[in-house]
Amino acid sequence: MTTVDKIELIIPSAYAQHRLIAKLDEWGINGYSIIREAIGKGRSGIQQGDLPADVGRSWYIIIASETSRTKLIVEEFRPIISRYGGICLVTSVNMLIKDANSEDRY
Amino acid sequence: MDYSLVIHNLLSPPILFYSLGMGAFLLRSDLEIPSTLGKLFSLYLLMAIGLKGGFSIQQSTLDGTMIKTLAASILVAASTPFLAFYLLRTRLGAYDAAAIAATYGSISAVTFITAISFLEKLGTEYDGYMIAAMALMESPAIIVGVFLANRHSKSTGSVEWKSLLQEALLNGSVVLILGSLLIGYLADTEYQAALKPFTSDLFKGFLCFFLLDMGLASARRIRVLRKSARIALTFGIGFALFTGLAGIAFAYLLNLSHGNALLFALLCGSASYIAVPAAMRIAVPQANASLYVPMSLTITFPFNIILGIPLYYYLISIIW
Repeated sequence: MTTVDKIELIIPSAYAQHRLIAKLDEWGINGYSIIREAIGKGRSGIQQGDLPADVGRSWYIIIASETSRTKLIVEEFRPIISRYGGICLVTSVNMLIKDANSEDRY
Repeated sequence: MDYSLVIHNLLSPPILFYSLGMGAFLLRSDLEIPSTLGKLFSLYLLMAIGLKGGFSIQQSTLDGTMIKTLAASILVAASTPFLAFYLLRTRLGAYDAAAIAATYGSISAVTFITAISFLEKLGTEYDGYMIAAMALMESPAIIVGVFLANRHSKSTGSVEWKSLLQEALLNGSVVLILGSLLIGYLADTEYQAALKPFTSDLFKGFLCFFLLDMGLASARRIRVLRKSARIALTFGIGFALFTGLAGIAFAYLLNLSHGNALLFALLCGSASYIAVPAAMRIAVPQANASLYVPMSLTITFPFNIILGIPLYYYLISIIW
């Protein structure tokens, strides 16, 4: 088990669709998971996500970050959230991953 | 007024399915269409209409009316947002006024497609190049809308023009409609016949399904509009009617046929709820999407498909 920071982001899909992946690579974030089509309610009201366009839905992104890098990563997201909306949550968690030297085969 | 046109339109399956969607939501039915299917329906409709237009253009010759119509389409799409913006600016902030102006300067492909279905039912002909006009009218308003927001706001944030132009000119619906139009134009007659079940036979069924989905989506936004009902209703119907009637006047000057004139009027009088909101969300994120999307989807769209289509067709029939 390793202690890491879990960074959870909700970013409007109109922004995320074409720009986010490039930004994550640019910032050296090499591991992340994305759930598309997140809907919910926020300051701009209910996000229905029911139109055939990138409006009213968001991407949910989860990143496991070494504690020492978290602040840098979060600062990169600050201007995006200020301009386009969304949220960023950071929590300290224990992470279990497959040992790189393991002999296990799946 | 020839009420038989209104009744004919009201009792057509696409409009009835739209009403069914609205009614189902208002009666709290659990009817729901997965969003990915809604996207598939819209892609299908754009592709089918693009192919049909391409087949039709292949059979026609390039003439002055076609070129004038396409030029007028771009001109209308680029100038309408200026008028809308200056009308709205007295009541709304620059961001909201610019986003609504872009929405009403651009077009609704589904309104256009519903009008085609209406014309086909009446047996009235239209030309394939009107589909090219539709594709050309999607983008200019986005660029003008962002220009207006930028010019009249106090924000220091700069616009990423390169990204915006990409969004405006290469958004999915523009690429698909223009691509399908070109593919249809290049397709030989054997392929045209082979694709007919796809472009024609399935078309009305998919349109019904998509309008059912849009009926649900429209009804979901009624509550949001309560806060700004006055401006939404006044502008959503008044401005659409004004631009639709101006479209009829332009169509008369361009000497368009009845079918083409109806399509042109609806292109002028419709408002986008797909391409523009997606672009505005990026370029003018300060604008309130809870205002400009429902105005277009819940007020102008049903007004056009239920009343606008038969009303404009009736006016065109008595004017020329």
